[in-house]
Amino acid sequence: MARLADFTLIPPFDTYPKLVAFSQQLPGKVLLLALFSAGLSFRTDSWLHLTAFMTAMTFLPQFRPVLLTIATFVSLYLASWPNVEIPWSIHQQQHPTFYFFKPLILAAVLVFFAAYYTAVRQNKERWYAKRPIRNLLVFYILLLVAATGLPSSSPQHVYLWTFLAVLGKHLWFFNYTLLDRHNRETPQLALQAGYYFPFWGGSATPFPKGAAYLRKIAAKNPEQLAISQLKGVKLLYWALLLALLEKLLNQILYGNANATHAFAEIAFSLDIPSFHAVLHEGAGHTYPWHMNWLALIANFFSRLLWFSVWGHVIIACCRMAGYNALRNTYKPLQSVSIADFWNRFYYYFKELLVDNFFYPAFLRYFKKWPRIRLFFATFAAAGFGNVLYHFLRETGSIADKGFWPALWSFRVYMFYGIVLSTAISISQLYEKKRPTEMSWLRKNFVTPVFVVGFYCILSIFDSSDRNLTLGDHFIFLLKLFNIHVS
Amino acid sequence: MDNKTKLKAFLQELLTDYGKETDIGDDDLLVTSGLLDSLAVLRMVVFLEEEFGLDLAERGFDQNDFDSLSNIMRLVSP
Repeated sequence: MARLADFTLIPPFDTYPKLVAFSQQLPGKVLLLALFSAGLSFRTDSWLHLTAFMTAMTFLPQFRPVLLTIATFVSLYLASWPNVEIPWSIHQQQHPTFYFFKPLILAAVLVFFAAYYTAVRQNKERWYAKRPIRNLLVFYILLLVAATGLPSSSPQHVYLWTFLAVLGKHLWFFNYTLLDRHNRETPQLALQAGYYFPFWGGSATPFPKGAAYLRKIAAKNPEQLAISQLKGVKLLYWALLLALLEKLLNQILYGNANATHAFAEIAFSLDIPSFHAVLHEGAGHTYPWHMNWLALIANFFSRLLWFSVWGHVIIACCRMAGYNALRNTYKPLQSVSIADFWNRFYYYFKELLVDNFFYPAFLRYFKKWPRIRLFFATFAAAGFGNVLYHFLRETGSIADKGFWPALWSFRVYMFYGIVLSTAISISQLYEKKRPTEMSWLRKNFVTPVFVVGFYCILSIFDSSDRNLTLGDHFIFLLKLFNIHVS
Repeated sequence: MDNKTKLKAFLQELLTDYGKETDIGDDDLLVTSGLLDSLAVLRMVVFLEEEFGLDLAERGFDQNDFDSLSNIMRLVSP
């Protein structure tokens, strides 16, 4: 029984001393890079240049920070930036030979932040240096409001929105730099530029956290590098297995209507409607209640799988570069509380909210009332911070609709934030029983089913469609229980 | 009981709560290694406030300060 409990599909290679020793030698390094590169080619078209960066960082670890900076800038130049593509295409029509638009806008954003960071560090007693993260966020929001007031066809409009889109993508990276400004591990600002959107990918959420953290988890010797890379290879191949499972599940659940060939020649499918279809169900087409449930559950698990694979590939590349980061998603189905799931599902986003919102609120307010203190700080992070992060990410929608209409269209997500933060607060306050004290059935089945069930139902309100009202989402919720409201 | 012993006893209790029955050394990484998470750091903050009267709001907060016993000791007796 104990042997069965210890079984892992991919063995813990990073704990085998002989393999760790082999991975420090030239043939071992080459083999690891080749294995990783081969696996990566199944996931991304950029595998070749990613391999080139990782090879350089493997053989020249003493230059890792400089190599990371170069790799990051090359990747940023090659990458497609959806938020910038539209203004860029307008600019190209006006100035077809001007190829340096993206690098210049990026340079402008970096120079702006360098000036702000230097001012904050050199003038600690000035008002803007007291709460620099809050001030940067307020400044960004004010710029967004101002930008929506400019005539849409003017060149200033194109430049400002491009600047805002790029600044918005870097905002939380800059906040980490501001958070780390007193840390002894923080490198020089010029080198920190390599940590803003590192070449291994990610989103507006820094993977994994800021420069000081990255420096801390960097391999300090050949043995640590070998362990980090073995863990990287292991995680990548785990991600590939999950990706295969995701494809198989999608075939079985939804069929493969848009593809020429069925996955692995499997013709069978349950033909469950997509969550989008059941949520947008018109008057002419009513799905039975059990089909609504199936669509919701299938969508939740499908997203969970996709999300795990996405995060695993990023962290695997990070580990191959010599930074032994924790996973972004770690066994979410084993969560023993609502707060635990939130920690396991999207670790680096949760850390961003904790570092930028939770601790500042927790350390300042309601110190004499422990329960209110915890509730308020949780609300500041999982509610306010969460909604703010997602709202500021949608610069395209703000540019199209205007600031206030875009904010109003976010009301469903605001509701989601309120429910989520309330649930996490209650979970933290009352679910204090140690997992080790729970019975096997409760720990491994009853509690995870309750926790995952809660997040599955809450995911109704996590839809990215901003055109639906809160009422539309509640109507769908009632339909799950066969209650129809017109 | 001196400050370090008090702190170490608290951290051991915290680790037990997280199901990690391990004896920690002065420089063992607690958060970066995945042994504890940011919610555990929160409990450390409350412990330091109550036990040593520390006010981190004015000092500025850095989660790295809580990553090892020796780092936390630097907060308690700088």
